[in-house]
Amino acid sequence: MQPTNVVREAVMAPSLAAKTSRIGLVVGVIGMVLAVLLGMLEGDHMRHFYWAYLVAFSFMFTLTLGGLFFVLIQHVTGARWSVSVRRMGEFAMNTVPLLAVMALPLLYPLFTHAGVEEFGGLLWPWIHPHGEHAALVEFKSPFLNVGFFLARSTFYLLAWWIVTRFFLKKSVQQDQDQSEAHTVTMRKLSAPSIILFALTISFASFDWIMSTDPTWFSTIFGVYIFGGAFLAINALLVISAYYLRTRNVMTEQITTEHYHDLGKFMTAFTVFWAYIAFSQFMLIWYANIPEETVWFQHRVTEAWSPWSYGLVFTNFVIPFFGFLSRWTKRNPKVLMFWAAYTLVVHWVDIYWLIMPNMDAETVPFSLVEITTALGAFGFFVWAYSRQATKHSLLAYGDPNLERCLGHVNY
Amino acid sequence: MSNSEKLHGVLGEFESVDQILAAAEMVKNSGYTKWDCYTPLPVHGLDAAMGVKETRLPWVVLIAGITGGALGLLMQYWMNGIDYKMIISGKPMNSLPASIPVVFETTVLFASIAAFLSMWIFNGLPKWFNPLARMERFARATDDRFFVALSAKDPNFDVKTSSALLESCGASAVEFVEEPDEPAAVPTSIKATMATVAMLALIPLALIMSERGAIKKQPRLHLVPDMDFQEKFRAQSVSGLFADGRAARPQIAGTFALEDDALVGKDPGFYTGKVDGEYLTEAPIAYSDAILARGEERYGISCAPCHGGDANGKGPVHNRAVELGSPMWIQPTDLHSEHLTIQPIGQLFESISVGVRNMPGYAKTVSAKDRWAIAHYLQSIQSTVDTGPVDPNADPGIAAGKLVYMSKACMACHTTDGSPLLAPSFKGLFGSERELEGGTTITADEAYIKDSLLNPTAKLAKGFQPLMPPAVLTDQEFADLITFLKSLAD
Ligand code: HEC
Ligand code: HEC
Repeated sequence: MQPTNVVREAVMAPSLAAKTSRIGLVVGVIGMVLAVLLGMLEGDHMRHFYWAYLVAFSFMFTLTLGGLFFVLIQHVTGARWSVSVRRMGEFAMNTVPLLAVMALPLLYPLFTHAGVEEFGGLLWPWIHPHGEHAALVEFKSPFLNVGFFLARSTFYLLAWWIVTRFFLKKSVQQDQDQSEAHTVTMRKLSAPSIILFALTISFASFDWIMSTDPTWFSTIFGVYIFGGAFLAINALLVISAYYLRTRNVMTEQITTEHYHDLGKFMTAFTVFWAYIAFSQFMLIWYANIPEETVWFQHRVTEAWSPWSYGLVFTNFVIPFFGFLSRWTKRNPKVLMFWAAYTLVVHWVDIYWLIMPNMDAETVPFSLVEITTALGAFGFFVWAYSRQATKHSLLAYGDPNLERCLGHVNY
Repeated sequence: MSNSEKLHGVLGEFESVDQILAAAEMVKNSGYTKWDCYTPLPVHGLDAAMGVKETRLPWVVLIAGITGGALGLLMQYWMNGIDYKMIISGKPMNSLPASIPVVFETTVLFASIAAFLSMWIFNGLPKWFNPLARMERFARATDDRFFVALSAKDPNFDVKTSSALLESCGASAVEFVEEPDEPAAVPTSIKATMATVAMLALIPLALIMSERGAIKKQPRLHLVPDMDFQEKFRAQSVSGLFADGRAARPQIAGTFALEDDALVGKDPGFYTGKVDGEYLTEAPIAYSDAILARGEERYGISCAPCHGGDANGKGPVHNRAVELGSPMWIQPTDLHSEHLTIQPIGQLFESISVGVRNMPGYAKTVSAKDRWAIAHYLQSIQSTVDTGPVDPNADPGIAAGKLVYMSKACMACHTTDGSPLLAPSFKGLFGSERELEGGTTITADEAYIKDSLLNPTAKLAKGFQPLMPPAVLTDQEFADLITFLKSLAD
């Protein structure tokens, strides 16, 4: 039933938001400081730390970009159901400045000569081509060189910053003037933005993540990262919704129906992730061309194979059956559990993408990983929830708000 | 209202969403089970008000999906692992990754078909006729009115109380619905159309059947001709390009496969199977379980298509050639053959490397180490052959002659059991009168046989092609062969 008289007013929870963001900041600072200290103890020129940091950074990057895609897809499809959760997606995407700041420490491995003798460099191996494949990596240097890499990275961040700013600003403006014109503008601009999104997320994944093994290439890699990113943002939104509602915020605006739809997205994208992961694997496995298989070869070593085979279950089989039932999706507590689970295994997935390139023979998992992950996530929570101190949690100027609140799944 | 026996039910009309929701709630609470609501728009909350139970459809779909996936897996397991064993791309016969796409498709196929069909069944479709549709008032169910219809079949149904119930729910009108006196006949035009469509639907099927069954002089339709007719030479086919006519090129004397080229000088035994012209009797790679497993696997990839998974010479390529009736096809050797059991391992290695008679060499595709592994594997399966009891009184020349027959590949064309293959059988050959092409006859004595070997096509046996290659035997070999042929003479 359509609620006949929807009250269009801001949903503000400034003290809750401030408290949450403070917790995020504390966790972030403590996590990162600990991580740096632990990293220094290892006596490897912080190599382990930088790899773990890249994992944490990539995890954050998928959350931010997941948020961007979530917002764009609502506009491009003219979705009505999602109006009440869209603002949180907008907060999530509006963390590009943090992402840019978090990227700064990664400049060190790009420029330093530390660790070149022992490991051929601290992070991306193409900075100092070495070992038996040096010639191959050298061959790619027109693309993979420090200058161009920095230029591209700057471009991605700048592009995301402009797009995310724009969509947040418009949406907030609409809160004030409640004009439908904003919706039309956003719908029009969301289509080209999605194209920009697709290209930049692909190339950023190639540059930041895939190039940790510069001899290897997979054109579907960006899609793989995208699948994980969208899964992660839906999980984050469910967790946020649950967090708010248990604290008596947004209880009217977010209903079982919204949980249900976010849950459907997670179900679908669990399958999507598996579909893409398998597509990437199968072609490489079938063609069996050494320069492609090597990547999987490094992941079925004695050390990594439990992790690799485990991924099939932890990231597909288990959550798929977990999410499948309608009951799960309409039961906030249960859905909240699966959302948290999804975020954790998404991190596990990213770890698996990156770390075997540092060392295929051992799983270096230690406190460094945990502290960097917590640190980065803490910072993200800080930047994410801080925005709720200034803006309404509900895009209450959206003309589709009524439709959203009266939305029902059959 | 007339005869209540023909009553279908009672229909109540309502004017708003709120009214129909309230009415549905009341009807449900009055214990009715056979009734339904009709609305011009989806009314949120109506299902709950009516007390409609959650559908069981998801369970049907889940079970169908799992069944589809399992069947898809089983199908491929049976096809690739049991019915038509063929190693493709060096993958194991039953490899899960290769099966996944099909499993995915069959899962989706079964699940969606099950969803579609069960939806029909659960909804009682197809339903050709509903008496409600004859009510004039009911037309507004697609426009601006909401209806509740109680069926006369409901145990709670009663002409008076049921209509009163609807009225008390606030119905703006209540009407009784009657069953038609006799079912209306389907109009002839519809019958005719359906019959025509059914007939037309048979045409494609009939065409396919006739195309499949017919023998045609003209080729069938080829949509992708260069895929249907690839430029290639089949096993043992003839090429006009080379003087010897062989399409499968034997290795050019004095050459080695690329990998071996640089190394052969360093370790001739390892790369040729021979040292100073003598075959090695010991393999340079020691026998081990791992080597044997490797040999078995490589055999499966490179040799089994011709020699068969059981190494009995009847692999899929052979079966196909027989099926097609290829006139000149030479059966791949049964690798359990006696003559191979006494070959030094170096000779087996050489046969694999450079080929033997009609078989091409495999040095270019199988590494030397793997070729030794295959040779080990061949010896290991040979040791499982029971050659039967040896008759101590038999002339040793017979056994020696049989070896000549096998190792010089006479057996590829000549049998010893009387059945002609590509050539006359050796059974009863010696001493018999032979009919030649052109009408003459000749006795098959030693001289004739010697002549047949050196100059096979000069005197053609009647009814056979000039296929036989000349064979050069030593005197000893010839003598043994004659002893063997004599033993088959009776
Ligand atoms: C294209 C089909 C084909 C393939 C593949 C093939 N062979 Fe053969 N092989 C034959 C044929 C045909 C003969 C019999 C040749 C003849 O008698 O002219 C033969 C004969 C042999 C012989 C008997 C040699 C002798 O001295 O009588 C051996 C041993 C042998 N093959 C081993 C192998 C091995 C090992 C492989 C795998 C590396 C292999 N073959 C692959 C068709 C094949
Ligand atoms: C490629 C198939 C082929 C092989 C291998 C082959 N032959 Fe023949 N052989 C024939 C055919 C066909 C004929 C009948 C036509 C002819 O007389 O040339 C024949 C005829 C003969 C005849 C004459 C039989 C008659 O009825 O007149 C003798 C004897 C003979 N072969 C012996 C041998 C011996 C011994 C070997 C092994 C060293 C051998 N052949 C290998 C195909 C073969």
